[in-house]
Amino acid sequence: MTSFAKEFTKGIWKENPVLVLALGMCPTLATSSNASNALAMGLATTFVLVCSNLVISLIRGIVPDKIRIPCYIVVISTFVTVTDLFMKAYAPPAIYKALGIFLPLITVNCIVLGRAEAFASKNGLFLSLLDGAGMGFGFTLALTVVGVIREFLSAGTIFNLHMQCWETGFAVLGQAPGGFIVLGFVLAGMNCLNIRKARKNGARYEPPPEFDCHNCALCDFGQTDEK
Amino acid sequence: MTDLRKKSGILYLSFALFLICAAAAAVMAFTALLTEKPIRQRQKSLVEENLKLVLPDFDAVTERKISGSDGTDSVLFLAEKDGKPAGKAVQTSTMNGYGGRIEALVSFDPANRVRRIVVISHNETPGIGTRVVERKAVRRLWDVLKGRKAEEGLPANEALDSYEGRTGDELSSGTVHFVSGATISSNAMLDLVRRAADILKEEESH
Repeated sequence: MTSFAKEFTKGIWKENPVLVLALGMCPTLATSSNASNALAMGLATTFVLVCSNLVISLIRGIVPDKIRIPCYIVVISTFVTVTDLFMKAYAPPAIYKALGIFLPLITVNCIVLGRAEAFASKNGLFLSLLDGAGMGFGFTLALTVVGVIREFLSAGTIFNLHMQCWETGFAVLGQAPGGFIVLGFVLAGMNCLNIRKARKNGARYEPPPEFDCHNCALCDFGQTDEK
Repeated sequence: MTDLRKKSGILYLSFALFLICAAAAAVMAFTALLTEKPIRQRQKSLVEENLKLVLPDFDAVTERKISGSDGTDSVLFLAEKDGKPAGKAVQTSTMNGYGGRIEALVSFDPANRVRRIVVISHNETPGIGTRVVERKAVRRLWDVLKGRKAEEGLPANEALDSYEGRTGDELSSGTVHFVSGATISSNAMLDLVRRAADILKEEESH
């Protein structure tokens, strides 16, 4: 049971696609200018991620290795088209318009293809479902956190509700450069929490193994504990 | 049984890809069929909702498509109430916005004075150009906490509201509200409303 829970929760914190794996940066920066868009984008990606993980896990036995990437892309783009059509029909028009080109571009979102290649093509149905849901939830969460911060600082609102702290915000945070700035601070904050937690337990924070921190000395990930 | 994943014959590769594409096409076709009607309905109701925002009470509307000399398409809406003319509106666009195209619906009263403007689509800079084109209802935290209801009707916009009650000839950078820092957006909006007034004049002259 614990291993099932682990597959789900790893996407939320330990291997969060945006904040740890640094995947899917393009939609993150573009659609997190306000909280509602960020949430909608996260949910749309989660739906595609879960569905494509399920189907790819299902067909993993018949897909030849040589053409697996085109097969995965076809599956993913099918679900993206389905999502796009449904959102066009039923999502609030303002949100559909705001997501614009980034909705069809979920097809080439590296999180979706990454999970298909790294997880769903090697694991069973249920585990793939959990992995997709966890990764999608982590993506949504990261996006929404960045979206809330950017919207609050740039317009003084959260989910379009005016917080009455200030009338004129920092407009730059609502635009692309502001996306980088806020994302940087969120990343730093998350690493800070991780390092502190590890220190408290007397251990040293180890980033995920595929994350090569050992050649960089900007923070103390790569340093040895001589203190 | 051989492992299908290790197969590499061109026939099997094509067959597998064909199978997956066929299934994908079926799923997409089914969804398109399912959502075709709601999408069409929604686009229709969007136009109607915008017309309701800018025009006084009406029960029937006729639309006339007008192709401009510069390739922009405009639509003239003539609304009627109980068989009598109730109002007119022009949907047109300009390419002069800071982010390119701005499309808006401008309604006029019987004396061809601007009645109300609603911007349908734009690509202006958030926080700067949007101050010229966006009507945004602001819901405040204290209002929600005190249980005050949301305001009904069209949210105000100082720049767009400054056009109201003026004829096309009266519109200039001196008479309407220009937002400082957003001169290009303001100019584009002025251009758009003038264009709408010109289209109306031309249509009524023949």
